[in-house]
Amino acid sequence: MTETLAAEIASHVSRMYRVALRIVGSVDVAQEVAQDACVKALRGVDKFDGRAALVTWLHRITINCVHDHLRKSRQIDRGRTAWDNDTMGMLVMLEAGPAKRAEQNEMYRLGLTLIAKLPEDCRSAFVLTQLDGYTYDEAAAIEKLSRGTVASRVYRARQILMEQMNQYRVGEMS
Amino acid sequence: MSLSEEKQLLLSQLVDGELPVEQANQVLADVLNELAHVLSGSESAWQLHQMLASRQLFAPWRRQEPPKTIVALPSPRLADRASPFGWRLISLASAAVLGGVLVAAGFFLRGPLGMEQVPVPVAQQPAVIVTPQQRREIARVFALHESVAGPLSWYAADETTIQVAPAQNGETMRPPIAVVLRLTRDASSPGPPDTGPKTYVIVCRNGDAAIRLPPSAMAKAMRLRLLPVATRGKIELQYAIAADGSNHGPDEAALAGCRHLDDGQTPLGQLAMNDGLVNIDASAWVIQNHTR
Repeated sequence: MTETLAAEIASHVSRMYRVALRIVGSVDVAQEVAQDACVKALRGVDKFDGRAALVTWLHRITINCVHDHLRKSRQIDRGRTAWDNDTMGMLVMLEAGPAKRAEQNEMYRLGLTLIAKLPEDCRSAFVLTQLDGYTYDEAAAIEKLSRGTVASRVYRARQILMEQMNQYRVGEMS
Repeated sequence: MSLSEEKQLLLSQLVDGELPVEQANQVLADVLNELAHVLSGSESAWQLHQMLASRQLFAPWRRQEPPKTIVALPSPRLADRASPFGWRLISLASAAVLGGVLVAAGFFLRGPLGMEQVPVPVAQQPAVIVTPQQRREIARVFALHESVAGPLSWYAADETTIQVAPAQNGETMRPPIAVVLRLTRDASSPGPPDTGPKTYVIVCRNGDAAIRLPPSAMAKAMRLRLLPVATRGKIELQYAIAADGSNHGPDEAALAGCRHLDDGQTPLGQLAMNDGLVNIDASAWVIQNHTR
């Protein structure tokens, strides 16, 4: 049982890393935080009673590790603004050509900026499913909501984003 | 108009629900793009197109992976099982005999890594650099062990014990990398003033050593996972180290990270052990021509 859980934890490492990266905004720090979270999860694997979904348990450990890190480094404020700086500029869209890539990067930055302005409830559901890569069911477990509520919030967030991005495009063209 | 076989294959998988979601979205978006002039009046096609675009916008983010391997330490219960972690073949008689070579050479007892184990205030202890002579000594001892026990996956020794893990069939044999771990009680921690540093010599062959170190005056039982990789004259060491809890509780202390090491001392971090803080430093290098 423990071995199976350990193997399952290993399969969640990438997502734990992305959750950390989204909050701390630094690749190196996110690597450290994810490493720390993984060690803590494996160390406490015996304490996992199975009542919570494994994904919820790991998400909580990761978030706790992120907060520990931010508290220790006294960079809480920096961590919050990192979203607008380091993280957004980090992504390189290798698939597209230079012109397309520039456009995609611009839209990506805009997308992140707009996400930050979404209503809190929508933002949380949207971030969990669209950035962290959780399924609706997993996001529902993490947020302690029904799947339908998550679906509704993701939809609402998406509508707001699409509307604002279209407005931006129209503004650019005019 | 003929559709490429590759595209048809994708469509076939799409209708079967066999494509990963990101790829399925891409295929759908491509189809919608082709139909844009036809579907310009369709509200649902427009909505779908927009939603796919919003989903794809953050796809690169969702593909992000940690830049380096995350090192995972099994739980103590797992560690107690024979494989893949733990003391493999500690009872290897030849290794125990050969271990005397290290002790006789004075590597540990008469000044591990150039330091006498005499009461020296921790704060005054100098930085340690592994000398060429000591590096040769470690290489020689490792070669001796391999000559008796066959190829080793890893080797770990302190002044009293030696552990070796024989390489498994088919295991790739890379150049051995020596890692010297040094544990020193932190100056600010309470404890007997004469507790000198504790040194472990570890040689890893295959980049991923899971080792359990025995209890000592300095530390309770420790579990290590080391992934040393030689890059441009330095060793990049990913590590996870966990120490069993103090006498008063079951909690463990653990640290993990990645450092570039050479034959000088590099701090890996601190662990709370035996109610005090212990600094852990390491140095590492590739053992060259160790069979000579």
